[in-house]
Amino acid sequence: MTDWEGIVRQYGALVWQTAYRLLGDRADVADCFQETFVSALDVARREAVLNWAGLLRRLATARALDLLRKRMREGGRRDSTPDWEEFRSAAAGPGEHAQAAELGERLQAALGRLPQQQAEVFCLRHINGLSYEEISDQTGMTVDAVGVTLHRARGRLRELLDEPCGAARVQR
Amino acid sequence: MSTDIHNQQDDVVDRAAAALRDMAVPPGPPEDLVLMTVAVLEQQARRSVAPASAAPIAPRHPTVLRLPRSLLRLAVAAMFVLAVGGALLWTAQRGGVAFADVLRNVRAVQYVRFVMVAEAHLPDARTQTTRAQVILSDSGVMRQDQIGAGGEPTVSIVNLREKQALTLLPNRKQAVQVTMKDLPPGNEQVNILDQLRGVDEKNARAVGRMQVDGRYAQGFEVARRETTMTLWADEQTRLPVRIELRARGGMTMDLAITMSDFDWSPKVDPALLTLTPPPDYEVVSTTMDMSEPTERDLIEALRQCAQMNEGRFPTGFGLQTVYELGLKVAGRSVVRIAEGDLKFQTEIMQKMLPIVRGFMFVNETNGEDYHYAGDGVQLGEPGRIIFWYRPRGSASLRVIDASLNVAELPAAQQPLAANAVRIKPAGRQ
Repeated sequence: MTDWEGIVRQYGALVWQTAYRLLGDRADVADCFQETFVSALDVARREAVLNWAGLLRRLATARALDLLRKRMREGGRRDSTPDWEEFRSAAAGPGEHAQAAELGERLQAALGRLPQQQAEVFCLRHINGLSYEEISDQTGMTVDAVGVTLHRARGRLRELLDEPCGAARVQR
Repeated sequence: MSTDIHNQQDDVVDRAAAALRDMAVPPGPPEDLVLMTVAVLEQQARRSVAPASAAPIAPRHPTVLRLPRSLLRLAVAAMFVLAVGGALLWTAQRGGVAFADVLRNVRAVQYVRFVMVAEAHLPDARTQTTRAQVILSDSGVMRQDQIGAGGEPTVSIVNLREKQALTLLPNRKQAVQVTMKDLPPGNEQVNILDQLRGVDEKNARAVGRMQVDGRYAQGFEVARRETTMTLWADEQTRLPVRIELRARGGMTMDLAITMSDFDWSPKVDPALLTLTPPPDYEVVSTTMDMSEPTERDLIEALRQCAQMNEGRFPTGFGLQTVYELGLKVAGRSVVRIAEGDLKFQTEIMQKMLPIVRGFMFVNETNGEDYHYAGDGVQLGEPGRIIFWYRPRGSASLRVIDASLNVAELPAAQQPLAANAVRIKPAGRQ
């Protein structure tokens, strides 16, 4: 029988961080956290899991993107008051904090408008730092397909981020 | 083909990705989330290996971080050593069962006796199982005989129509009489017998047949909000032989209740259902405010939470908070609760009830956009907003500060407060 407590304790921080970077909202992150592990349970029922970290990172990304898309469907409204402290970058000054926070927030909103596969591949590569090969292993795509998908995702994101401020941004 | 993400920092996409990648993430997950998640997983894992015929009916995905809509009733249930819990939760849903023949037979019953096993999943991931002998009467009285956690026999008699309850500890010769004050109309039905009598059969669906105690039974399922009832009726007698209730009380405070070993025509001495304690018992009398909670209850709950937490508002606003504060209030004497010390339990419940009532106010009937921002804020700290919500139908927000003053803001003007957390309210009453 799977030691779920051990798994949650060992990989909880990974899932928390993955979800938090995309959602930035404690309530949504908590939802995502539980849904990620419940999804992992579904996977574990079907097949033996050899790489829990990889599986959970991918599931957390997918569930977080689901929530981002849901936010967009609901009018892009963010449910909690953003905590600017939580957007603080380790090296930046106060002005850069605000800029980085705004840019990050716009990217979150833009990811919610991207097709699921593109958004997922983009996050695995650029937020989680996985190599093309690792993404290929995780998603079952070929390495070439990862590259093509990533290229398309970046192109679409660039368009969305270049839109006038507010168009791709989470509304408050 | 690989793109070096660090060589394109001038690209807006890379700068945006870097902003998220480098964002300082608060430490986590919180311990309560870990415990709740583990509890959900273990429960789901257990369900996956249960025999098909006995598999409990569960929602596809757990509802997470949702305030329990029946918290007050849960609290009362806890005082009655959990035994009343299942029926009360079901009462809250006001559900209906289909099959007319079964209903007709149930409506003709004067008394029913059965065995009830209640399994409650506590916020600390422990599971508490209670087994009770239950008698229900057509006059709305419920009696439960059970053995408490410390091996203490306990009798609970509840009559919500009379707004009275009595709990007896025969070994200690102690009794607690509870008067339920201002119980809202429509809450008088407490037991499953009452419920079955009042159901709308259109809401049930057949779920097949199986053998129960060697007899073939037809199953019917009624799901309503967080509660699912599955009733198995004997194909011969057309009376229930097994009833399963699965109630998600919010967060992961689940209740799984199974009723079995039904006797639909028992001989019952009416003295067993009296609300008058035996003459040689030491009696503690108490009153419980069962009225609908208001904003004033919410404010009082926030105040009490802070006072119980060394003057600071607690980390969160939810069942876990109630649970942790309850343990704090009970302190080292928590073992007295486990041992079935009714007087002590009553004291604790009286202390906790105002908090529970305040939390009960946070539901979809009363409002929306509930936010809590009190984590670590000192009671009375100037200029700190700790809570806000929008009353249903209102264009304004009600904003509560750390001194527990209330102000109104236009709904479009969401307060900026650090660590604000959106609260998912309990469902509509």
